[in-house]
Amino acid sequence: MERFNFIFVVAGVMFFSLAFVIMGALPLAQYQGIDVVTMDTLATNIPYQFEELARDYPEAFEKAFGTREPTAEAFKEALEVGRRAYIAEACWHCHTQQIRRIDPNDGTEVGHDISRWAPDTNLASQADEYHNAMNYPHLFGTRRVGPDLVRSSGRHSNDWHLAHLWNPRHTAPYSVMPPYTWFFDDAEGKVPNRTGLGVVTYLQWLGSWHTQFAPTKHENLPRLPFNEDWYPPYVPEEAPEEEDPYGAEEDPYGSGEEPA
Amino acid sequence: MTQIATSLIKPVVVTSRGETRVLVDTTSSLLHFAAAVAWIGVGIVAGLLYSFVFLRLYPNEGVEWLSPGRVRMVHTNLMAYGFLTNAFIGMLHWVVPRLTGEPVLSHALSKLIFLAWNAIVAAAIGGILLGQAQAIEWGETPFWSDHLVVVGVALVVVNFCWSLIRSREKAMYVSLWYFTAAFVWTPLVYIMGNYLPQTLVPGTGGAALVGLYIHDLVGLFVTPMGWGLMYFFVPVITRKPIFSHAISLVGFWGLAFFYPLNGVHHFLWSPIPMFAQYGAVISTIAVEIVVTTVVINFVMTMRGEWGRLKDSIALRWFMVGMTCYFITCLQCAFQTTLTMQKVIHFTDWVVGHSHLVMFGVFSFWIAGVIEHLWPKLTGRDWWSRRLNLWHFWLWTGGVALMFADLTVIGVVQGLLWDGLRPWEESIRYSEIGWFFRMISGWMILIGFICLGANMLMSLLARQEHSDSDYAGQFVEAQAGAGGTRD
Repeated sequence: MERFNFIFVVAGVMFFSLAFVIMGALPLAQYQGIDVVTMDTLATNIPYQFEELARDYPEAFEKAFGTREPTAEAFKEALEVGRRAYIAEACWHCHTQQIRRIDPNDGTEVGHDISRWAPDTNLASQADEYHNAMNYPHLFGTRRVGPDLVRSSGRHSNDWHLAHLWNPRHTAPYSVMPPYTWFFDDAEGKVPNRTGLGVVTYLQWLGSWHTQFAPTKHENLPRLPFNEDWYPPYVPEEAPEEEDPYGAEEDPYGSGEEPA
Repeated sequence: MTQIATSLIKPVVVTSRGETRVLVDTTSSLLHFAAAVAWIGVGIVAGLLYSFVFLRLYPNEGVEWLSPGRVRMVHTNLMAYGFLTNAFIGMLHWVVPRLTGEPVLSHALSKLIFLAWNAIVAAAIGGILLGQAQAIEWGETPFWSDHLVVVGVALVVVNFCWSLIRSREKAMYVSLWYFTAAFVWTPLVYIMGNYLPQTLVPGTGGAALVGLYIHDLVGLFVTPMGWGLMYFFVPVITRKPIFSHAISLVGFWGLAFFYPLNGVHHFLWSPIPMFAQYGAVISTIAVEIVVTTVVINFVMTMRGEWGRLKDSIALRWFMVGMTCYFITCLQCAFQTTLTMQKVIHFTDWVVGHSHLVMFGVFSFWIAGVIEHLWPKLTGRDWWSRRLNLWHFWLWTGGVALMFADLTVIGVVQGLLWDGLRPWEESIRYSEIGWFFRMISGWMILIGFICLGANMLMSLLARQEHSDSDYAGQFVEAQAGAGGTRD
């Protein structure tokens, strides 16, 4: 046990491989054979906010994506640009993209992730949502200085987002987020550039599969095993009916009449 | 003067195979420590700069490449690849040939590694500032630089493993167990974390791997290096052998088995399958038990030697670091439970925890090594003991303040979120905590200036190092099973 070879093979290779299999390969094996959603498929559901961007900033849009129409090609490109900027500026270090399964609605008593971040759909994050070409690698995040963004689509308008990116204090007075003035072409923050359009597209795409395309949301998404659904449904305990020590008959005031 | 001259000449010695060779490459060791200290300086400034953001101060507003998010990634990555890695390689150059009795593969290769590694770090940091970051926590270095890092790590591993393989020493000392394991783990961890989620495994499956990566970089690279240096330097300074060989075995094999299983605890309550989450929680708690055995081993080694803390600042760094380590791991055993995660996950509690472990433990141990080795490597005495004391107290005070402060506001944030209070409220209640976090940053920066100034002045003052066992010379210490050489 104190020889180089033994430590190299057992501690180094074998223990690491064991952990890799249990903690990495087994969770991974659950998603084997389920196709990763491609960009083309994602581009079949274009959020209306993207069309709005094309309409509101036609020149900037054309300069950025080479067309004035909110086409699928332009949408794919905008998503990529947005995601790249989201990573380059490390947005994901202050904004999570993960609604944890902690909520009274989901059977736990502490924590209100679902109530806060998915009050409309009442759904915690599921593996399906991340099984696509926009998640190489995933952007779960580990710190939440600002709000979670995985369902940010439609929570605010495009204008709100652009004003927020230009100076976060304009829309959220207590925000500590730094301004991103280089997302804009002009000195006044009125015209977003390619990066700015991309970031807004990305933010408006996040969660659009739930909020905009709800009836068909799973049409294009593979169903992934969701075996973490182990929790018994939360049934609020009703207070047991106590026997009234003063029955209706005996209650001097219950009937509103003095007993005879 | 003669002594300075001789101390810089590498002694030619008889190796464990009976060959006459230069054993220890002190120049490489010196270079790596100097680079480590330079990088931590930049890293501390980056961290401090980032802490201003939370007070709504934006000194670099409008400067794209100094965007706070990028500065944050520079901070964390410099600490990992600029500071810790350089310092560990410098430490390995000092320790490994002494314990194996064999030199590394090639002293020229060591110099090449020094140049290449620091060039890679500089390039990767440049890439992050230019907006080419990769979305892997602790691996934000641009994807193109990952290939270079893998080559660099491979060279380091080959260079040192050569020495380990060729050794004819009868017993392998504890430090070397840790180093050997780390030499296998580090490249595997790096490749797993930086390549698979980026190219092959999207979403939740990738998250499980990234969880492993975040944790393994701490647990399978930094931690074994750290304990390896503790097992070497504490007995050398106290001139006492390690208390128990058996406990050392328990500590090492426990760590080797349980630590790799921890990763998923970074994403509890996420869509990652629950069996992995449960497993991670259980093995995290198991690690705490293992860690306790190691700490007991060192506390017992220090029995009767605690008075040495008065005169040996190096020993102070080691012992304060070890105390922080125990606190961190104890904290970890509790905070990893699913119950506590509901409140403290995503809050500043975690930030405090990570600063306590990366700064309060491993940076402190490296500070101890620098304190001990700098005179031996340069042949010159410390210019000022007073400055070293200031360095010690400023860093200790700084990390204590930061840890206490962030832990408290972490709980406040978690409870405000749980109470469904408006989001802004958690920001406003945190402001006071973020202010004190910045103060602790200043303390750490000033402490660093004390260290850097003292190192420079020691070189300039040219005061000969009075210690007789100067660089490269063998002194058989009675430490350790394998007979540690000081």
